[in-house]
Amino acid sequence: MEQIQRYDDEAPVLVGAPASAAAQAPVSYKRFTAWCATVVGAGVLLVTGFVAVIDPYHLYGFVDSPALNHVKPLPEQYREQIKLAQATAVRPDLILLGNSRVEVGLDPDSPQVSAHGRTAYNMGLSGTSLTTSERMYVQLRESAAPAAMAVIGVEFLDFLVKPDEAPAAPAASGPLPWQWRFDTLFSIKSLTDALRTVRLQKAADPETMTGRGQTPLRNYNQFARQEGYYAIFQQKAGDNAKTLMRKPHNLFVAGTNRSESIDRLRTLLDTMARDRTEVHLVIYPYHAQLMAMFEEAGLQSTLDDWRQMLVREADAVRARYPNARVNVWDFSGYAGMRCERIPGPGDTRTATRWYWEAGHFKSTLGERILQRILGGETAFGFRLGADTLAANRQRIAAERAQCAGDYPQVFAGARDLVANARASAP
Amino acid sequence: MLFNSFTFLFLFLPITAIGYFLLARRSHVQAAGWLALASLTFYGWWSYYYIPLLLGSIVFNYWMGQRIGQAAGPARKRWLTAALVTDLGLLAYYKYADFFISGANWLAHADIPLLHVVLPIGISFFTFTQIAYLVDTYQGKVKEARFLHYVLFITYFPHLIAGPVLHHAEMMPQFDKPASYRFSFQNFAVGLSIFAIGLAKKVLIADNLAPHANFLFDKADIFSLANAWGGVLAYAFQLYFDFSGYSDMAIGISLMFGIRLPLNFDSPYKAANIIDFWRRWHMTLSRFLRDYLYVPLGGNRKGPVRRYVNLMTTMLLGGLWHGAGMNFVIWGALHGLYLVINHGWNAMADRLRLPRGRTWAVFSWALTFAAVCVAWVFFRATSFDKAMTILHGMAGLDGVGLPASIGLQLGPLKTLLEQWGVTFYLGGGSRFLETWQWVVIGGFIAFCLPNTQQIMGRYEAALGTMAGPRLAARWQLWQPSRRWSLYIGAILLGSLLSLSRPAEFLYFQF
Repeated sequence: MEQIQRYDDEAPVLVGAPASAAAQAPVSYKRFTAWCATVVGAGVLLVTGFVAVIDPYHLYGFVDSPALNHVKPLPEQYREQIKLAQATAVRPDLILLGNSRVEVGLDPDSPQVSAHGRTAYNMGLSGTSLTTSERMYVQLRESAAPAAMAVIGVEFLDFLVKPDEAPAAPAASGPLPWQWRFDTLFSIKSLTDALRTVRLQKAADPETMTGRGQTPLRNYNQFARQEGYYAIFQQKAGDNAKTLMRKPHNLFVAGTNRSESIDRLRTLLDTMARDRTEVHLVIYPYHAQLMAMFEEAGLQSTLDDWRQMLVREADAVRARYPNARVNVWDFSGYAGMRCERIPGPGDTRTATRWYWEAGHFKSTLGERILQRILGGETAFGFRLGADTLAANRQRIAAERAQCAGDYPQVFAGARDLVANARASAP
Repeated sequence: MLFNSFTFLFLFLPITAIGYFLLARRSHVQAAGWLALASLTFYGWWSYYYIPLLLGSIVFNYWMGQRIGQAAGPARKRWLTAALVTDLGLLAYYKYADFFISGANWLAHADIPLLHVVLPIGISFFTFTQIAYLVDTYQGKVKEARFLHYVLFITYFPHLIAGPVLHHAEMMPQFDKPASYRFSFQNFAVGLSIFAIGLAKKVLIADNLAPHANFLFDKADIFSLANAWGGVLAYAFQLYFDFSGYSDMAIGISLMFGIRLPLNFDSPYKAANIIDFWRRWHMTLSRFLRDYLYVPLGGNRKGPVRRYVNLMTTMLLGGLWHGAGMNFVIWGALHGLYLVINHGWNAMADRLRLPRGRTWAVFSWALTFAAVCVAWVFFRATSFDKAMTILHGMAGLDGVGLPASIGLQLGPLKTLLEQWGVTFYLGGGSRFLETWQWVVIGGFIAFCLPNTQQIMGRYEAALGTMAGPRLAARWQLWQPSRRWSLYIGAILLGSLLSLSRPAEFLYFQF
């Protein structure tokens, strides 16, 4: 009787049944709970075991099988932490820093690099600025010896600030140090990435990140086959035009010779000078289409000022640290590869050799950059110094005239894109 | 603290539950005190600055409740008025100060600086709960003498932050019941299952819909028909599964402690008309607005015109409750208008004896859902202009565009579509496909599957009644079997895998 009364009092009463019915098999609820716990527990073990073995982020290295997990997918989250962990394991003496242009275009497995007896790692991260590069470098220094050489891609657009821009607030506290380790082992993302890894082994043009941090954008080959390079160039150019409309035209916060990006650059150069790391600052080889869009957006003179600023900062760090080795390379311009013809609309057969689209060059072009930096014989790339700035300006003007004559459509198209973006800007 | 976090699931909840049931063996008072303390910790996890505000509100309202209960004649009403003015004043300060200042600045072309008051989380819910308590006390429906039980009633963590809005009369007897203080595997198994379903709604569905809704409302620059509807439907289902998931989790957690919470959701998107919708959406808030606003305004007792005015007033204030902004007022006004039209139509249809067959039911349901989605645009959009831009797209006035990558897959159909005026734009193919995939999944679950209460139809796991069919199909009915333990275990595992990106519940901001 007491038993019945007890269950009668309980909250989830059975509908349309006498109270005693709810009490018929109390053990089954216990068994149900135990089974649930078993399913969850077994599932957790299975998932973590599977992810650790497949190792979609190059973190554990238990198995390396071409049939199972040799090619890894591009991680969508915790890429900074994953790259730092990989770089720490690789212990590179040549590090590549920058945004997506570095991440995509510079191949740390390049024959140029190995021919010079170097071990490289690509720490470039898409969508990031020098703040991230500097942070990553400092963190890498905590666990690895300083690199002998660093190639740092500097992005002109990241240096544009509003004159009244306040100093950047300190970064909000990010994920806990252990959280990324946990999430890369046990999360829906890590599980799907592990499954994706298995599938990728048979894919023709997988979207991958290599064990040395490069994202070679091979999946763009598939887009190019389906839609053609014209579509890829046009889509990105449309996005770039909108971005340019939002950009201010100043390099410095009013009344100073500073900005967040310049501060980060100074800090990074100083740190590397103290580490005796040979630094190569790289101005990216934008495609002529993007250069023409800079012009149309009225950024030409700011771009020129920016080059001067980079040279000044390199000189300044040499003055602060007499042993510092800092080079500034200008790979921008309009000649040769940078004036590569964009396949026409509907053309899904012609492939470009140097560019995925105007902002991102392929490894083939990246190879030329590395060749020049590592001392190879090539005319590509211009070493910038206070005494060569004027000559560089003349070079670019001459290249522009040549490209405009050979390929006027690219300039007309850039004009239209910027005009459209300006018309639709809020 | 969020229900969908590892901290809650593996730290707070086990410690609270074990402490509660162990203490309950010695003393129910100690167990209730422990639960109240745990609830304050739960609240303070977000910001301990507002614990004094919460406690102050509780002490004040309890004391005013005593005064109202003990007073007689006009004094009774004076105490009630004083308490309500204070409660609403506090709510107005925290929720509407900047809204009123902006309004005053706009009207008088003034430049009074905004206060930028931070809204204490859950203030609407604990204030409404206490207003209901005061009014019920005034009407002689309740008399509460135990302060600890009152504190627990207000702070009880499963409902504290985002509802459901509780009634004193339905909770206090449960806090008295000895069975509520005894651990029961039945309560635990049923509660865990409801919680798991709610957690899955939140982290497996709502959180996957969120980026697609956010993209339309915050980032998109293409508002063609399919894009606009895709984003709005993504938001409609995101909000549905977010809030419904939260309500399920609250009911499930509470049941583990032996307490039944009121039902808050009953498949509102299956509603056949807007009156029905409001009986099924956020049921405890609708009940509150009906009992403590619509009825005191006169309800339908003073003729049809006053009834419509009262409906509009109630919905306008309901809209304003959701947020201090004109878009929320417009959302409330739209729903007020919908209700007026619905009541008017019902009266006319009754008089004309219009037939209401199956086809009519389907049309009525589709019209209701579309109307609700249109109103959601104002609810979510960051400005009136943005809302109008999206509505423009939903009406097809920005054309019918599809991503070029999809066009490539259509073969000859693409040419046909182009002849019909469909354009193809570059980029956005993945976003478009993912948006509609999640919309279809959300729609299928919302429209075609039974809701949690129907699945748990063998048990009265929550207080209140459903408008829809009482039970799901036999195979869909939960029971403590091995089959169901596999389902629930798998759902829990899937949800745990998705906890790495804890996202706040949408209703926390109200």
